[in-house]
Amino acid sequence: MSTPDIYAGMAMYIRDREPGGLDGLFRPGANLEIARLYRNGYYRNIREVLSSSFPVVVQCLGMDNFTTLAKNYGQAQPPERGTLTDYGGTFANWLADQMSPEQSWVADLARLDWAWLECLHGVDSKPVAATELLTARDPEDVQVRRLENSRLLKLEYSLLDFWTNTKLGKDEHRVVTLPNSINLEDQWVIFWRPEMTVYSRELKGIEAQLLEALASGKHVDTGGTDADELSVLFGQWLNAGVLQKCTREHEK
Amino acid sequence: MHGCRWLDVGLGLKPEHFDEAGATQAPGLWFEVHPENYMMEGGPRLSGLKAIARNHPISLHGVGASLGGLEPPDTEHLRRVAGLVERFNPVLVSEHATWSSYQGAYYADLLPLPRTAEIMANLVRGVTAYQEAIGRPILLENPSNYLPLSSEMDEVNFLMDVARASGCGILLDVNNLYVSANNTGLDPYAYIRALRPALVGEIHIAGHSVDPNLGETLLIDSHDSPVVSGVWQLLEFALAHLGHKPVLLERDAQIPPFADLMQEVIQARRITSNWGNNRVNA
Repeated sequence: MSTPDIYAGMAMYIRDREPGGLDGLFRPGANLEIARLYRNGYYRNIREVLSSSFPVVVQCLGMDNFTTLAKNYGQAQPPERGTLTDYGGTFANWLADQMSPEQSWVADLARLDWAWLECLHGVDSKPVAATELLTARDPEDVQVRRLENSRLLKLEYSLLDFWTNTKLGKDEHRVVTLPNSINLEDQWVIFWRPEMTVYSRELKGIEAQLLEALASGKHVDTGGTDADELSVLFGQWLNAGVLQKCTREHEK
Repeated sequence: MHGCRWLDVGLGLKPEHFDEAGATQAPGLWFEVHPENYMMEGGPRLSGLKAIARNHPISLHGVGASLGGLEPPDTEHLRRVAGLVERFNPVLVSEHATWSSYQGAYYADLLPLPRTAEIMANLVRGVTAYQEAIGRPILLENPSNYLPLSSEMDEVNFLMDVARASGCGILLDVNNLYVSANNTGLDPYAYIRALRPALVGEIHIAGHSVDPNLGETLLIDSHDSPVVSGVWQLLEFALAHLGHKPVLLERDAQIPPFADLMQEVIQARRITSNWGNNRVNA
């Protein structure tokens, strides 16, 4: 067995359960059935990290169903980097293709789980206070942007309340079911983290548009927005700690 | 080692134990984490580790670099590890004599390396790249073996040759040795006797489990239970041969309360205190 074959064979065994790839890796007479430990270890690690990253999805589907999905995802889209901390970014979209039409809402729950996690692990950003803007001497210091760790997402279903209640009432032995009636309207949601706690809120359409534009501190076109409404929104964002000052880096 | 801090018995640190760990003071106590669990930009986990690192020595024990891989380690992964080394200035940095990545896919486990000249060259290349990326030597851990590998040389000499060629040291995991001895018949005492003491920079102890299908004939390096008496005995023998070395208790599953883990740390300290700074020839 050549050296490249050793790696290819084990990879094939883990991915496709093809034991022929192990010929020559172990001494003659070795019980190759034991090699399952390596395969099992890989899929166990995949399942553990995905179930940790998508807890509400687990609660809705049950761990048995989730385990099957995690294994299939691990085969279809294996991790590419040597850390699983950021593995699962494509899981929501992949899930959307796996679910039946009756369960298409599950993908939105996965999007919420992932956005929350990305916000939690995002850059620690210091929200700007109103006094900083009022006392700024340089107009450049008055430019603001959305918190760098914030995440804005558009859902196909209005699921934020259900997701929040399920996440807060986490009981890993309980499988929750979606309420009989869910709002089929799109929903914009923002997650942001001014300190170490992640906050979330539903956004109105115009709010979402403006906050999306404030992602990078670029010029925001407020044309058509009532000035009073804009003032109220801006004040709310300041109070909530959604905004931070732009830096030269942000403007690049 | 970086920094002149005396390390006695340390503990693998989990986020759920941050508060208790931060409040615990004991001579020689240190903590170890997997850098792969801290490769984020910010947030409470990273902040928690920073708080611990203010008052306790921290070491980084990598699991995802695939040092023995067919391809060199991923440069982005090395960059992230280097960033953590820069941020935390760990007292020790270590990785594994295994592989886990192949053709762009990461197989998220520590996969076995047959001990051949060609694979040794891959491992030396990987260790060298890692050390160059982080700017310091690392310790390389012996693997747990579940099956005997087709190999040209024995494991202990393989690792020592890698150490000599790359300038790394060795992390002796006596639980891995115990598991490998049970599963493949190697002699753990001969293994330890063959080790050059100056190469060993750290010792790991941990628990293991019994395979539900094959029973005691197959032990699994699961890190999900207390250390068994046979592993404690191997630790004593290792310290007798190698002299005092920093010892680290690992626990990665079925995590008990922090106080329970500290009881095992205390038990380990009773053993390490017998060897102090004197080397006893076994």
